[in-house]
Amino acid sequence: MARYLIVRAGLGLVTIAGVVLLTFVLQFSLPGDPARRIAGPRASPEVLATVRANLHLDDSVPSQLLTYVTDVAQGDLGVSYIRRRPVIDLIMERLPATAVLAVGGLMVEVTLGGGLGLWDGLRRKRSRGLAAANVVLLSIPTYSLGFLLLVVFAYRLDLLPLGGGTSAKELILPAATLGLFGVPYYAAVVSESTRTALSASYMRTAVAKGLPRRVILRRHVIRNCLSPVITLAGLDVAIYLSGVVFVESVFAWPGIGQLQEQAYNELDRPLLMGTVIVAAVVVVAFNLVADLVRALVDPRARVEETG
Amino acid sequence: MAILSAGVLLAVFAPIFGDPYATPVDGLTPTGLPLGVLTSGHPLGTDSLGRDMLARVAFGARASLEIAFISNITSVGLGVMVGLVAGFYRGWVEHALMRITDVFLAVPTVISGLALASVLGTGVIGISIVVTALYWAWTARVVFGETLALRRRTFVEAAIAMGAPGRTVIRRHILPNLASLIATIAAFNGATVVAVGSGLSYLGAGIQPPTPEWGNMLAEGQGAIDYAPHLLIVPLACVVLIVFGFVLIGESLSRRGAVSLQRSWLDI
Repeated sequence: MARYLIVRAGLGLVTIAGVVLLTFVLQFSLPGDPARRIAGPRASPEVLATVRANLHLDDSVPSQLLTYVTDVAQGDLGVSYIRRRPVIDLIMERLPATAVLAVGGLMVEVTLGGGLGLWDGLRRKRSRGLAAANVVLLSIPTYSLGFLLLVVFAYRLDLLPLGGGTSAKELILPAATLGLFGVPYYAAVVSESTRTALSASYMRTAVAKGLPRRVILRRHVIRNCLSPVITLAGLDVAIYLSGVVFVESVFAWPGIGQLQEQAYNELDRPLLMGTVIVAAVVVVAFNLVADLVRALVDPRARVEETG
Repeated sequence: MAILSAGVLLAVFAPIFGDPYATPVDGLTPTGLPLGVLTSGHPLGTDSLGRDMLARVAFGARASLEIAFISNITSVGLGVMVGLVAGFYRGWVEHALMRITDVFLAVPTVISGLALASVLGTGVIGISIVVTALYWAWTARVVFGETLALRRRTFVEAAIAMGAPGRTVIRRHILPNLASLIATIAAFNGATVVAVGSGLSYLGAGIQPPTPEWGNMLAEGQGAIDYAPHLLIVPLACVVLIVFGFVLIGESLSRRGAVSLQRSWLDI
């Protein structure tokens, strides 16, 4: 198990290195001269030259790459052009809001999707209504779903605030948007593993030895669903933490996604690339964590991966 | 299928619905508001400049569907190629290709899309390249896994043992067995690509107004939700219907046992 994790962690590092390389290449192709962005449109040639020298822009490409990689490896993602502050600080400031949204969205999809999936899996026949609802939910683009929820609940019915802050009430709509989108997957996965558990031979044993329904459900059915749900949830948290641009943009949620959109609109190169790198690190890290947690809750995974 | 064909027909015959840029004198109400649905001469009403919505939706179908079909074919094609080669040849080829795939899987979709779009421009071809870059890796990952499994099957091993060259084995034995999987992937990928393509335009990075595209029409329509909801509903219905068409095809294909739904596929 330890060896497997070390290999996975090594591969993760290679992936992150690849992302850093990719952002380096992308930086060259973005429009605009970075020195001029910092110094302003009326800067004298001398000032421009100083700025260029500070950014190492006159060095050869390999040497620039080396500077870039060493900086990133030390956690230095550069300084934002517009905000004049280190990119890493800007991202860290936004992290709590994004984390709250991610947890909210995850709770919606796990409880709603898991509940529906369990209900569907315990039925003798698959529910057609659930299948239809899944297909419809899959078809609505996130940004439109968010906007429609906003119009109906916040504007027309005036039940919830329009957004722009991070209070609990303002969390409901964005979290619901984020979560609703994931419900079909969780329902499908939970329903599937419930069916697998119900038809397994250990289930016959459990029923035969007279275990109460509640205990069977908790010990054999739900336990069996945990492993796939954790895999899904790990992936989701990573994606949500790396910035949900559409949802944050619709609800003016002050998280990383909104920061990304602003960075794009302002052509703030270091900020844009910084968020991409941080997001990639988060995705890789959470995949690793999901592997670990799955091994902890599901003995079968441990055997498979060491054997 | 029927929904998708209707969409394509709408795009092909767009010119018969009129000029999407024309601003006729009768395009607005006397108070300067857009005409509603089902007014004479404008079955889907007009937008805030008095342009005919039906013509705009039809021309929008051109941009949206061109992006969808081009990038679906290229991303699935690229993914299948990479997955096949990596899964079949193994060794350092596998490692190199799959590490590149991992990099593209780890990159956050929407923001990279925005960054790429600012480099590659905002035309149909540019956006198609952006969407391809964002989505080929998912196909590659799935095809890679399937190819690995197929490679261990006896008929493939027999073909290799008989000395058949790699290309022949791939073409004769592996590709035919992947066909239904690839078709399913293409359907789900198509759904995603429609949503993402118009999503980029919605955020202002894709096709720019005044060229009609469903995504930028959606963005325009949101501002008018109060007095002319059809400006939002009409393009939204188009996007939803086309995605719905792709998802339905994918569902029916996957029910025949090809692949199960991929969570991350439709995530944007």
